[in-house]
Amino acid sequence: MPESVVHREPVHRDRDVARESRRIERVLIGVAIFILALFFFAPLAAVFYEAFRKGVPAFWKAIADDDTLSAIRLTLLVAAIAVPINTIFGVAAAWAIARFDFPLKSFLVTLIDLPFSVSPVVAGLSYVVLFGSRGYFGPWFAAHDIPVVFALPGIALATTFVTFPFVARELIPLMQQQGVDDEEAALTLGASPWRMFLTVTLPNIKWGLLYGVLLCNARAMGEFGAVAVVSGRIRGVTNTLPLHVEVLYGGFDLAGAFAVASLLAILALVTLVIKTALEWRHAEELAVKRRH
Amino acid sequence: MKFASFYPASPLPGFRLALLATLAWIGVIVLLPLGGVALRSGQIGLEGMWNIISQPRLLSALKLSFGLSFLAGVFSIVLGGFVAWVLTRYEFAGRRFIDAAVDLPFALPTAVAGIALTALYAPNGWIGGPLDALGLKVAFTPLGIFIALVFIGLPFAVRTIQPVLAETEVELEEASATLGASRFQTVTKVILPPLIPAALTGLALAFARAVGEYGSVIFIAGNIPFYSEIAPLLVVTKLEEFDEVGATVVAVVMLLASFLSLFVINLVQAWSRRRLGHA
Amino acid sequence: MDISIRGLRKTFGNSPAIHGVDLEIRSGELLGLLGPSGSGKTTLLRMIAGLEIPSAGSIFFGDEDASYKSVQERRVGFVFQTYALFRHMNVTDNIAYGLRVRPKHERPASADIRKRVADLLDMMQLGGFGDRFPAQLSGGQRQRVALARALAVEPRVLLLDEPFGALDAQVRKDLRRWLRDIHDRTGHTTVFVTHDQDEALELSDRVAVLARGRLEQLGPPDEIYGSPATPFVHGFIGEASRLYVEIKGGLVRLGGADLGLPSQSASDGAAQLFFRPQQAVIENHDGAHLRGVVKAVRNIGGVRRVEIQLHDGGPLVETECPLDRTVAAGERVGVRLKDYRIFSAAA
Repeated sequence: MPESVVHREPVHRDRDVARESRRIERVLIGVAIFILALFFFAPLAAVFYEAFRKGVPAFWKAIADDDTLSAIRLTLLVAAIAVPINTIFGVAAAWAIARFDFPLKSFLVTLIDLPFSVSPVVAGLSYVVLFGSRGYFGPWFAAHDIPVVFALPGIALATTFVTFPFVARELIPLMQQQGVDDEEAALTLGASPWRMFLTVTLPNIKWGLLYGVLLCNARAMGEFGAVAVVSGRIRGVTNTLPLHVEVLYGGFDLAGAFAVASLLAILALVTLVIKTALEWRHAEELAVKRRH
Repeated sequence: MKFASFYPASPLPGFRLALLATLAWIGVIVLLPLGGVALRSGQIGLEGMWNIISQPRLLSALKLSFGLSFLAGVFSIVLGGFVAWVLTRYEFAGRRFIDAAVDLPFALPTAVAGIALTALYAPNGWIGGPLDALGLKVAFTPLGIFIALVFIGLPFAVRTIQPVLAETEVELEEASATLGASRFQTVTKVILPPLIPAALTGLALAFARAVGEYGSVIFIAGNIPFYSEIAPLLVVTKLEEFDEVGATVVAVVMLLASFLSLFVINLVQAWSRRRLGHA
Repeated sequence: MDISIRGLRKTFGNSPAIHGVDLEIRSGELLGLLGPSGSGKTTLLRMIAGLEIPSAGSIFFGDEDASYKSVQERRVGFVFQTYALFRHMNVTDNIAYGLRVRPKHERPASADIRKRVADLLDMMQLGGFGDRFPAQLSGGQRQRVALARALAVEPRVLLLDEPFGALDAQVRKDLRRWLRDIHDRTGHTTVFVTHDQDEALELSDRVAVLARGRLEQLGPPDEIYGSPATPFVHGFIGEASRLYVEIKGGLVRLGGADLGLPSQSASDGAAQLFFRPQQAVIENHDGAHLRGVVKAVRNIGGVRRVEIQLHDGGPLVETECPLDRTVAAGERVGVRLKDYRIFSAAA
């Protein structure tokens, strides 16, 4: 644009007379809070209410149940597999995309986002198609005694699929904004590539990386649809926490289901708190244009 | 191998490694499995696929899923646009708290949302009870599915509209007022039209998510065939009936719907960039 | 339309922005509101428009008290610094907006609206641009669209906030002349805000100089430049050197020494003495009023400016010096004031 902003003073505005009145404003705020209370706070409250309806001992009994504990272990294990894998590859993808130009780059970005627009159920199905007993690779894995579907590898793969984009899509815009100056400076000062990455790149993206990992982890621990399809829901063996919620709920053990659900709700709340804290404290070190 | 011409001119290291890792990762985790789904569904031919799609129970489920997802998306946009307005325009105690809470559905596991919404809207629930007294049943009806899909869609709507609304300069509203427009005219003619691209993007995102949504819906849906059975559930059902091919056909229809929404998003964004000079 | 501003005050929170301004704007004149950042000029303009509610005082449009009329009722044309064009409307729709939002019984027929828009496009030399969107226009073109949009409603007064603030230097100059021309042709009472004194002096019939929320001086450009009414105006408009002096018994003293200058009827006590570079000459004879050391010599297009420090750590003053006289930094020189102005500190 052929113009340069030569001078611009901030305009003092007391209260915009061109806007709606305070009274209307208050009504609108009230309605918005009501909507959010109805849609968001009420379900959350319901989870904790139902979890503790039969008292704290009943709550603890449900949590301390062997099947619940095994579900917690499996959930943590799955997250411990899927999150690091997606973190490493997310950083690699962001490095390739944000730091270099190459043909079909925007297509690659679209591919990275793809898992977000695929139904989790379809994601789960796709691994059954590959590794199920009649799947394309199923017989080979069965012959070598490597269980995939209805076992940990399938659950981990399906979880990796649905949490695939989180780290990359946070880092790509962030690294594009930050530019290459710091890294080029490190190289001119004689740093090895690996040293440049550890001492320049990583510190620059650490908050964004944490943000992506946080969301990735929340989804990994909470994923239901994809995991439901590949797990076989074997109690105490292939049940993750969300699946265990369903099993208890289906068995009419409502107090137990909500007790386990409340653990996941706490995970969600902690995630939200950390996410919000990151957004408030480190806004300029996160990607500015937040997309979900 | 034409990799040399592919190699970009940059002093930075690691391009080859990073790109290869990325491609391998996408290939193994995403493309190979989805390719498998497409291949398996295609092995019965177009006619075989059509025979499955045209089964009345599946058609009914697809209609319900697409129809409700669209309605819930539109409703989310209206509601979310309103919430975005309040969050960007007004200062009030707890605004930042409310703003953070909008992301709850992104963070809350879908199964938890599903049983919580069911408990709330069941005939003996906090909200379902009073509604039931009025003769309105929510849980185990399509209305229940709609509520769950709005729960899922609302944050998409708020988060796509919010930044555009925040960029709207106050001067535009003042200009409109000095030209004699009433507040209502200013809102409808000046503030809302530039939000349309963002609203359409939000709608497409919410729709794509809603069509595939499983966890938060199946508990409240009741899953009655021809009434409240959604398409993703049929994928699971067919798989449990060992009809893997049938499941992949349903999956392909759902995949096409998501790709179509993605395509629409890209079109809308390209259009608004050209027309309005910004994304 | 005459506009009469009486005792106008505006406070934002605890900080006053306008402290009681009285200003009569004459029908058909082009008035420049000139002042530095934070002088309250934009706030004053926005209060005339009705975009800001006065804390006290009144604004009359002719005989009508408009003080508490809404923005919509005032029918002013306001051109924003950023133009505030509606991005989703093309140029035609932008210009027609103010006519189309009128209630049905006041709205011109759509053929009349089209005609009015076409005439305005012509006047603004924007023929053929009607279908373009603001994003497809240059800064100068956008400025003209904003002006056309404001004129379309036949405003009672045209208000422009830093109309050339966001434009390149060359475009600014062209548009300045052109705005004057439009004003002369349409005869609208026009008030524009600027921080640029050249712009205000070149363009305005009268200039109102504001500082810290007060009206310092109101008058034609020549008067503002030639006889500044306050020390602020003298320092702000044009270039000037300022000396803090003392008046004692009709004599001007600087640092205890008599400068040999008449006190211009200033009363005894502290005072400020102003002179412009062209009002002072370098003079080594006894006629010099000031003495000092040359600090710097600058050539600015045919004229030479000499910066002189009156004594170590003392004030710097600036004079003009003919090109045929040699001066060098470090040289001791005298300065004779051909003209100057004194303002008593009490005033």
